[in-house]
Amino acid sequence: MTVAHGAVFRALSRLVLLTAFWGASSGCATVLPHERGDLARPGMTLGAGWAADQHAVHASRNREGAALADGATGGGCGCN
Amino acid sequence: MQLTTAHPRRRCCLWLTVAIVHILCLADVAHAQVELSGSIASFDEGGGPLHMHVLTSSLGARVPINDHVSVAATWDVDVVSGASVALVDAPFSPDVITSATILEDTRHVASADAYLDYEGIETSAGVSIGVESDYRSTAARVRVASRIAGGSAEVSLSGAFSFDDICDAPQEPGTQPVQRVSLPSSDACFTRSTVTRHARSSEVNLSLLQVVSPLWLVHGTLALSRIEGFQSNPYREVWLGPHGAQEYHPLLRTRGAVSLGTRFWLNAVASALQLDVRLYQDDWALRGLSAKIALEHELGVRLPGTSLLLRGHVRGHAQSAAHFYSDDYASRPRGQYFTGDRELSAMQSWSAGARLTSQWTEFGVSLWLATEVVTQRFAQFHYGDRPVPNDSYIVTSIGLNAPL
Repeated sequence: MTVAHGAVFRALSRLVLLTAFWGASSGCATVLPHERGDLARPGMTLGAGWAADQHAVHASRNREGAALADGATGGGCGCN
Repeated sequence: MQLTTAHPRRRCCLWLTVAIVHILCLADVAHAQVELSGSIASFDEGGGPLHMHVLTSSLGARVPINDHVSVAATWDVDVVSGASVALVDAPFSPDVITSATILEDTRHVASADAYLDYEGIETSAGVSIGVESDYRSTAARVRVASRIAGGSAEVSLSGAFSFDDICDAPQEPGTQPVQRVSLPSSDACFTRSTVTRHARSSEVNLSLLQVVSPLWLVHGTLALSRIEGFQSNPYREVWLGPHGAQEYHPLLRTRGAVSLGTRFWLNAVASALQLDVRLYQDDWALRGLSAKIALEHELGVRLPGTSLLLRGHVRGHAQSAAHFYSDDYASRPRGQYFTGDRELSAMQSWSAGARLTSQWTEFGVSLWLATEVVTQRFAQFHYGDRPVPNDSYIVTSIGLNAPL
């Protein structure tokens, strides 16, 4: 990673931490059940497209060093 | 990877067939509706002599036992064919690319999971067994998720553990790393007279999802992982100057990642905007940054009884090199470790993908087609004096979910 990438990495690290703090502090927000119709749409649901995306995710895990195994088998050897 | 023709894993297939039949019998007893899923995917990486192709098929079934409990089983098969460079950084002719070794292998992974959903708390536990000619893996996982704050938030904690065996047949016990040779083939693997390496990994994930407004949610995940044991590719050698030696990685790796994402519903265009950022760091000094933006558009009802979803995304990834990575160990060694793994070098990648999903609401059937194109840039890695020819790939998949 170059110097420029390092600076971007540090800046985004702070951004992620700040946003995470903001997200946690918004825990008091209450959305009533009848207001959650749009939140139930497929594009708003985490993991809704998992089955369709898993093959591309599996490929990127095998083609990037900065990936975690996520519980998958064969996490140790670089040849898998 | 096996360098000879793969043998069929009859025992594994039999084991999984028994499990699936058993689940289907359970469903019959409970008069439950079985959810079947299946998919086929093709991974195609260009690169002339280093062309690689992986065909993956997946078959699964999930059965509700009662209102709270369900069980599932899946079976994945990877059929790999292509070529691999066995000696990285070799300075002499013939060049390592055109003389790459042909490889073929078949990998089976069988999984079984149980789910409990009770009083707003979701619990699951599962196991997986992966078998190939030179690699065996057993993994277990657990997950607990609970909705909190009146359902406006969800917190989940999950853990995964795996125990792997890796074939390193040609080594004599006690051989020094710089004297080790690469695995020529998987023919003698897992016999009593040959060396088998081991690796253990454990991983913990803590996730939080927060609904911010009726149109907006944010989510974040902290993931920690530790791998202990053999983490090299036994087939790969690195040129050290006077001779080559099997690559030698540290035996311990501790990894961490933080990801943050958001989903925002755009009423005007009937689409969900998805943004995700991920930061990664490990104790091999490898740092990574990934960002992804996606838009999922509801096309609505185009045929009676059906609805269509179209999703497009772009993603960028950049990472630094591991502290022991060098593109020339003969003149620039980096301590006691050495690797020929390009995924441990500084690299960048960009990808773009699309997915089309069709749902037949009357029958509960959904069909999807997805594709993703990825191109990578390796600033440091090369094969001798040749740049990396296999730096892009395409993944295409099609799948079906249906009740039985």
